[in-house]
Amino acid sequence: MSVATVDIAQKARSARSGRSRLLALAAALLMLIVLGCGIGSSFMPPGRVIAALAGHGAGTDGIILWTLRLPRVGLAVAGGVALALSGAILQRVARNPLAAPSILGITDGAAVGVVGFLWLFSNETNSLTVSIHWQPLAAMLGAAGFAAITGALTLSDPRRGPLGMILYGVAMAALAKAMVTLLMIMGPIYRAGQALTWLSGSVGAAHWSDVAILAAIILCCLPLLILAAPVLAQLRLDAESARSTGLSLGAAQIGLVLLSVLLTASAVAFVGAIGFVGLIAPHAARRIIGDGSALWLPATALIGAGLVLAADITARVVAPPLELPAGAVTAAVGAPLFLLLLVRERAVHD
Amino acid sequence: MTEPLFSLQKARAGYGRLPVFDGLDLDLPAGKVIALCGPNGSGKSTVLRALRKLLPVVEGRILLDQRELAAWPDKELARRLAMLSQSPEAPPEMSVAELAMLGRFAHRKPLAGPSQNDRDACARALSAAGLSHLAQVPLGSLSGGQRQRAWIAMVLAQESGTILLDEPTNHLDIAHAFEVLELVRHLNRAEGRSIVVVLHDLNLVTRYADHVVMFDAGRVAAQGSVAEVLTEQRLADVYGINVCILRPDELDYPVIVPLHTHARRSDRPE
Repeated sequence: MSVATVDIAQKARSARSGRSRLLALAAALLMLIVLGCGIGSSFMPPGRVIAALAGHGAGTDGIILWTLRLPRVGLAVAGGVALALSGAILQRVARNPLAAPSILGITDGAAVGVVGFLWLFSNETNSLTVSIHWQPLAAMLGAAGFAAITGALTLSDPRRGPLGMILYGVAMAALAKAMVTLLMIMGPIYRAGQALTWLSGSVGAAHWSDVAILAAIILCCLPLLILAAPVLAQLRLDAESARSTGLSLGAAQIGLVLLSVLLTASAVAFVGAIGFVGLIAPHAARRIIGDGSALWLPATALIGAGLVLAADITARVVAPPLELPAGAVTAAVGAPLFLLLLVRERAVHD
Repeated sequence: MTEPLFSLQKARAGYGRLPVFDGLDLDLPAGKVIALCGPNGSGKSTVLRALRKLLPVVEGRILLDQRELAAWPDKELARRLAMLSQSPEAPPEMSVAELAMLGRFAHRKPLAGPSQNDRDACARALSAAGLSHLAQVPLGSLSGGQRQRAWIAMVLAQESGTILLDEPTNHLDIAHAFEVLELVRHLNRAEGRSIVVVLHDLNLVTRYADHVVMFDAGRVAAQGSVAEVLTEQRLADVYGINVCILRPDELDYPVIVPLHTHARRSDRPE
């Protein structure tokens, strides 16, 4: 067999195994969706869930499913997809596996936006003076503001390079957290409770309208992501080599960071400050499929959806009837992983 | 007279506030292997980066094919000009073939996979770099010489008429260094590509360069043929060492042998 045929055979084999792994991830997500629909104050076994989804089940099953559980599952899936893709983009732009929306202050920036919004627009009777539908916009403004400051600091310090982005991001995230705490103490008590639930990240109060808006934003970002795929591939090279091959690096970085901010902010606006999904999902996808292939982004999206869904299911079952915020679960898994990656980075640099 | 490939006119560039060169005038001829040399910090690598528009010229201008560098769109420039920088980086799990395909960025059509053209160009680049048999091997498991050739394959896949190389023989043993420069000369002689290469090893310069530019402290100390530029007096002036230049009968290029340091510089106050 000639060298060329071996190459083609190897390529075909690795492409096939990549596709079958992606299918396995999709199947796992489907199972989680059925499980997520079944678990709640009244347990529904998978058979009944599937029957109700197909429209054959008992009437009450259908009502519980379609009005309560599916919006929640849908929001977890959409939020997970958006956060994971956002993290994947940031990791490429920063050329650093540690870059993630929650590390770079984008998630906490969104939190400042939301808490500031609740504080500014509440009256003495603790009700909002404007529609709650403005809350996502406030989250986006906060996220964009903090991302812009982190970005400006990084650009002003080119010698530190991508690492500077992480350092400034961590500092900006700490600043945002402090601002949130201050705003909560100074703000009205009732709003503080509402803000707290939102801050720790929860999909418990999901409505179909939330799912629809978030899904629409993700769908709008998809063509941009497909257009950006070759740019993301080129960003695996160091900055100079990428530019020498013809990449307009500055424009690419700004565009991709904006896309990432849009995805994070819209996810966070609806599911709350669920952290570390953007860190874990791209990393897991890299381990399972590798980040060289075109399947990396789809795999990242599937894993992100599965992560938030699994976190929400876990949060519902650990201490019933209490429901933990899903964000607490992702943080409990994600923070140790972040530390592990940091230690490994250090080992590489030593 | 033929048009120069590059033309620097009163160019100034550097890092931060300190310019590495200022008011630099220099024409580089087309179709040759041009070596940029000079002591550490003399500005040769900075000039190369400015030629590739990786470093902006803050004053003056640089022309490529009589057209100001700043006016070239990024992709068009990449089809005209490829560059291998001093320490390029890619993930160790990336395969040689994947790396070569990244060199096709400026040629690829949006929203489409690699075309037959792209695949052919990569195959030619890998074969020229002698890496066809290692196409699917990850970069992390290559030797230093092989990895350098993999990067050269990426640069070749870019199919640009001019190639800039920043110390391509760095970290390579003598055999691999010669192998790389033999390839560079072949690209010039057989394919007519212009080459601009930063080289530290003057014995590689004498052997492979058609045209030499000697930098000293951000200015051009001399340029021309090897015989014109690399004289004992000039090396004493620029590097501060005494050298002996041998011209063995069996070689068609001179050999430079350093003798001892602390040479007297003729035209420069201490």
